Amino acid sequence: MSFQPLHFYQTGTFTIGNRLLGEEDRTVQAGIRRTNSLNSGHRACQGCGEALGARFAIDAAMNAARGRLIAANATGCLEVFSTPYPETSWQIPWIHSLFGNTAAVATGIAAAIKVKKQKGEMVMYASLPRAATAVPPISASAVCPGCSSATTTSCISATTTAAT
Amino acid sequence: MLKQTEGSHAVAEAVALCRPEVICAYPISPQTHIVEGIGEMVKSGELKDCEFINVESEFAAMSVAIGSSAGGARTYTATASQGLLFMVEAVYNASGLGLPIVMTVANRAIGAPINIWNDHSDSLSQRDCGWIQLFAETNQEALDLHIQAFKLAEELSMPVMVCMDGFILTHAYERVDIPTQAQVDRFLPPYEPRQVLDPAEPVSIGAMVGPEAFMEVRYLAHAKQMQALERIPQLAKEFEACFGRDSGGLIRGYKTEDAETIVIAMGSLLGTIKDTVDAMREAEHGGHKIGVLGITSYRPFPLAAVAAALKNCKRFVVLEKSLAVGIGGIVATDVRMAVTGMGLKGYTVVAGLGGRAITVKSLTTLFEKACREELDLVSFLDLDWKVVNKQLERERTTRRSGPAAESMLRDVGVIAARIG
Amino acid sequence: MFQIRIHGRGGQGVVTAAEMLSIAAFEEGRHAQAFPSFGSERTGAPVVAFCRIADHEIRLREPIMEPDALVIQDPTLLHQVDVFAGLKKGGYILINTNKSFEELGLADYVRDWPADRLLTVSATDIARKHVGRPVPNVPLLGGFAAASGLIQLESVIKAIHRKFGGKIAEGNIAAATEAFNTVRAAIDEAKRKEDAHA
Repeated sequence: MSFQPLHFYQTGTFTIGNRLLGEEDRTVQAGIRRTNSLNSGHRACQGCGEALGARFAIDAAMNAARGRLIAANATGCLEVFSTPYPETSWQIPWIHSLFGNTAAVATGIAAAIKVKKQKGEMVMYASLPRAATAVPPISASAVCPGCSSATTTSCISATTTAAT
Repeated sequence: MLKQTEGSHAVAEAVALCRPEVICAYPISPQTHIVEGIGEMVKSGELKDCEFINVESEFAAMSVAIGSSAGGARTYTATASQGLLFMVEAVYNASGLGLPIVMTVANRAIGAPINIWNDHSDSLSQRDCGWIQLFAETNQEALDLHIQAFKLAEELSMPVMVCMDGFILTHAYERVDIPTQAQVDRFLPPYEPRQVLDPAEPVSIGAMVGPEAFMEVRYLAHAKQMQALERIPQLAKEFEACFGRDSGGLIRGYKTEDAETIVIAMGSLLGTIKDTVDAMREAEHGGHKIGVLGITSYRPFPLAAVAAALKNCKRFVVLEKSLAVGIGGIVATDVRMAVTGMGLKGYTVVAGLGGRAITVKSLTTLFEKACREELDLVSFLDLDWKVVNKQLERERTTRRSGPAAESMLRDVGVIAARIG
Repeated sequence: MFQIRIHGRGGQGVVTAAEMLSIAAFEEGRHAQAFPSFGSERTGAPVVAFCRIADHEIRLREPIMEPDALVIQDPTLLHQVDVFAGLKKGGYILINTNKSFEELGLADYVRDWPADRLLTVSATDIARKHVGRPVPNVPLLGGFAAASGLIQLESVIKAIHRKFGGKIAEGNIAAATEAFNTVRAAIDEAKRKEDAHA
């Protein structure tokens, strides 16, 4: 009978193994309050810098938008590995259109939201398990295409357009 | 309400009555008056609850439309010619994603050479992308088709292109009946999307589809157009019940019942053809048994309806403002598919490219030739063969023969005020 | 169906003239179609506009090849552009000018023409007087109404209200009315001369 070696996971690092720990001992990377808007199961390589960066950027956007975020994604690695039909690893509303039109698509989404809000037709939204404060406006976020996997966590720029 | 107004303005009013929520368009002749008209209405507050977005290009216009439509808003844009081509990537994207955007295409020729006048090459260049394409014969029909277009698009979840001849319709003043808001509201319910970007119910729109499912997804676009074939005539009937006039539908025949020769065309050209045909039917002009078939729905192409309309005639002439360089007609090719095996003689006539006037005089000579079956399989109406042959000769003898258009314009002796 | 062709130069309101003519006809319950000969013409370049008036729906879309009436907003076009192309014999010719047909060098062309079809009016002067701008299109419409009887002056006035507001509308109405009266007087004069001859 072969012996299954026991792995001891390190604390104080960014290793995924953190998830085996209790909440207080976890790092930010494995925090239970992360939105996981881009969830696991996508087709990127383990440790892909783009996925890593994307998750952080979207976390920040979700934070700013109090969980009410719509993503417009350009053609590129992120879009391809995150939505291999018929699956998607996105937990927020998400649209992919073309390569060079993401900002324009986001503008369109923002315009639609603005009009709907004006007409009093806004639908209820799912809120984050965070302290409820004054409700900020819904945002549409554009994530840039083809980020190289050599990027670090501070790389990806997410443009958020806030509808008033 | 009856009004004497410019075609563009009639369309602007019709679109406004459809309660659009987002309008995003880039100006290009000859569509400018439409979007300017709507812009004025938004600015004055006449058109409420509508976001008017100024975009930096036609590509941006269609992209904004995609985002907006996916966001659940009733969305409209307009373009022509070069603008349509600039947004082609997004045009395919819109139909691929099944977004019910309505777009006016003010038909204009495509350059080079740059030409701002009317022909159908722009819309027809996009005949395969999945957009439903409807061609208006008059300004009344143009405004009516926009109202039908929103309903059709939203029912099927497929974008619709309403085509109207640039300048000839857009810039012509004629009498139109503009419906009331109440009438349009009765006909066109609020937009209920099949798919929408909503944080309460997140969906992913625009996934990558590989060989294992792409064909099926594409087929579904085709299936929707097959559904449209059924729906379009029904919609025209519902429209007639609501507004009291016959507008839209798949095809419209004129004096075809006893016709031996049938002329097939699209758009405003049909008016001139009908006048020609009426004159030719008179005893003193030969009493020709000639009729007209107008195609309103170009995509989906009404194969069965066209075949049925032509079943009793001997020959047909497809008179089209379009040219498939290297083969001949565009519309004619589709018509021939419809009448396969029916043993009819068919003639393709390319006319009016780049806005060349099509006159009753020329049409009469043409149709008489058709009735005598003396036409070539493919011919060009009112082509100046002298100029063409001179240029061909020039190119044969001189290597550095210069830009073709420049040499030919010198031969033609362009005078700005020349009529026709 | 009555077909009118209007010739002028860019900036003289040729296109607006055709449109207003169609509005005037519409106000009288008739069908009318107005469209310009499109181009990228600048101010000063020759332009043409067309108007058809009928009691049935107008389906024809070709440029007007055989007009029943010509309105020439700028006489400098007369020997530069073939303004008379296709004009029906005896058709109306209304020219914006202070000169006579003879002085304009048209004596030969209009030799056998009925006198009440050949009309001139100083539309530019009238416009300058009432509106302060040398745009002759509206007075010419008033003149055309008098010449042809195809539309009433009242309808021209309604069309003016459709296109202009306030003081400009008032000025234009005055201009159209003066031109109308001038042309009406000229026709009456021509008729009297003919009766005197007969």
